Amino acid sequence: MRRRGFLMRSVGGLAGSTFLPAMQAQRAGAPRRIIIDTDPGTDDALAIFLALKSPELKVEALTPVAGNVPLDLTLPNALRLLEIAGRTDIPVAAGADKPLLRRLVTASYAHGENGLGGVVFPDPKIKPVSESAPELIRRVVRSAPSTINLIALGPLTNLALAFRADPELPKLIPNLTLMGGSLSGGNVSPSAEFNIYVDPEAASIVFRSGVPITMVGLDVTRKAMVGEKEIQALEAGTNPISRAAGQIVRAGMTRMRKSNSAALGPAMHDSLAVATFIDPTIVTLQDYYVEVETAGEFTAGETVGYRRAPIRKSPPMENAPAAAPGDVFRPNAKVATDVNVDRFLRMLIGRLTS
Amino acid sequence: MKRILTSTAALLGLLLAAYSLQAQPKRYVVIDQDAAGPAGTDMMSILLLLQSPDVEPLGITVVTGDAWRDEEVSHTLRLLELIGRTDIPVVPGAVFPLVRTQQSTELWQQMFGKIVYMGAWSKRPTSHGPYEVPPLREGNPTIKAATEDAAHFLVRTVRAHPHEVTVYEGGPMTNLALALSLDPQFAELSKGLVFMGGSLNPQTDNPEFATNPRHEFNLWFDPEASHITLRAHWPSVVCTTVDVSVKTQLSEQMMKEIARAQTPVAQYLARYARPGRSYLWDELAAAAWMNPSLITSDRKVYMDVSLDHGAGYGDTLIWSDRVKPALDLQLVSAQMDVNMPKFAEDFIRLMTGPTPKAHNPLMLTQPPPPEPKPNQNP
Repeated sequence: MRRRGFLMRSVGGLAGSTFLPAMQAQRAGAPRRIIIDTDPGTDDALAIFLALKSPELKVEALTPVAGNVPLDLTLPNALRLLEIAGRTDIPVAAGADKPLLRRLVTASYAHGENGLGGVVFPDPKIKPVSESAPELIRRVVRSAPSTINLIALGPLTNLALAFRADPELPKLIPNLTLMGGSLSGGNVSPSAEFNIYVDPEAASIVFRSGVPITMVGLDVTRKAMVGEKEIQALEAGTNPISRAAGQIVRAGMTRMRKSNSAALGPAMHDSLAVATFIDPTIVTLQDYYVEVETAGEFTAGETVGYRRAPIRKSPPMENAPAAAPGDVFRPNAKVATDVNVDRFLRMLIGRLTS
Repeated sequence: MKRILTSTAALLGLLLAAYSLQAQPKRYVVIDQDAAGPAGTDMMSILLLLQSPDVEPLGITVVTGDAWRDEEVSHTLRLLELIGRTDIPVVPGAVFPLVRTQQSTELWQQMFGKIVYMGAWSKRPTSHGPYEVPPLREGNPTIKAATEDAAHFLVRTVRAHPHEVTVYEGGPMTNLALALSLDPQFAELSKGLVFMGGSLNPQTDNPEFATNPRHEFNLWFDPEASHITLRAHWPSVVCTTVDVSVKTQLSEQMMKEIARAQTPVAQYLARYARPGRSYLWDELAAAAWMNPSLITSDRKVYMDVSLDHGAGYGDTLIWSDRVKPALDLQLVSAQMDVNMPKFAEDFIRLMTGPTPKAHNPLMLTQPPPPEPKPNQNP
């Protein structure tokens, strides 16, 4: 135990240094290995397709979690998406069916009752593996320390469970790219983005875990909308992925137009996270120290990003001791603050239709 | 005459024990502990369970609480080496509570007052970082812990024997909460939960409880994990409260009787236990699970933990049927009083008996060397 702990710490000690990018570069050309934690979810579907269609990536597993819709839908949806893509070799491990402490809030208003915009695909024939999502994440990460990356597209419950069950795990993961959070206002509440809002405690655990995070939040994803042109391109595609993606996005467009005829089109939140992982130059990344609000009555799930020291919290109540603001700036995330939408859409539509 | 009677009684007792061994299948238990050591409540409760011929311990999972996890794992491995039970897996679990942090707790104390006992977070000369293992007084182990994590081990172990495994908890509930979140059926598939934790209205002037009767370390250390665990649908929950714990004591007399036995367990206790200094917190939870007649009074209450981050964060909450809110709360059998002489009897009998399945114990069975006199060089 001691010996193992020591070895892990040695690796962990390097995680924050320049060693890891160098290690990745050393295997330049070889696809980067990823696990996708996801709650499909209409935009999750396109993001998963994008990852499967990207030669730079090797998808090791999908780990569905309750989020956009309950787990008993996100799990079969993940299996369905792999069948559509003809990638039934990729294992799917069921994750948490509820947030750590809170009641599950879903977003079926945006993703349809079935989570895929109401588009009906056949029931999946393949089955999930018997391992749980946190167990699979732990096993795969430990089987190849410092090589397995995570892309998280839903609430962070599975990752929080894995990180608390195995505290050394965050040090063994070179990068976690997550769709979630916002430094410029939320979508489900004025301050919170949905994925963080659903399980703020899990998000807090992940942001404090020390894993190197790339945060792709609403600041950029709300700009990453597909319009009529892109949807038609997908619908005209000749491969099953493109056509399934076209159906799902078309359903999203129809749903949006019903409530707002001037709507431009659905935002491809999750796909932008995958695209950022593939090519970070699509976005502008800035170092932030991000904390997740877990105590707020109106603001739970808000991601609070500090650009520099001092790290000031709410002022203490009268009669309470004065806490000095933190004067050291220790960034824990690279936050996407701007995006080249054209390049993103070219990548997304180009790859899905190819 | 008296001698014959005694030996006949002993023989009868042996026969009865052998009979009950055959008649009753062993009771499975998985032990989750914040296993500080040597001796002390955590190690001694593990020992009671390991010493019983009626109990099959399936593993010991370890969680930060009284001390940091890695040091606790070492104490546990060393204990197993000393008594010859290295076949029992020791599985490292959570190092930190789910949500509570040491830093936020320090701020909390500035607002709401001093926490008397902080476990791994105590500021002592011997305090150290989460992953450091200092030299242990009883010697450091040579055997290794399991490579699985505690939460998954718990899930796997309970699933291997559906409805047969009792989950014994002697520390903060982080590992249990993780297991419950990993496997929504974990609680239902167990035989039940037995834990030391919670405080109702203890009659004591101990400064830890005198002004703060609803504060208890195990539930307090990881309130969110306690909440997840107490809300789960266990077939039954038995709780050893502070109320009953403060009525127990490891007396000098008990230790004297134990120290006479030339067994590895008795000699381990003779060296490291500190009679007259501590309540038998976790030991009673273990002993009363094996012999429920030790408990002379209990209360059936709904139990939860306050997650309000204000003054009551981590305090024990209880309700009766009359006042409970319309929430999915679980009924707990909270122990309130104990037959201490009977408990002492069980304690001495188990701690002086042979260790079932022991193999090559390392503990010397001679009495410890006499304390060096002050004028002698050590």
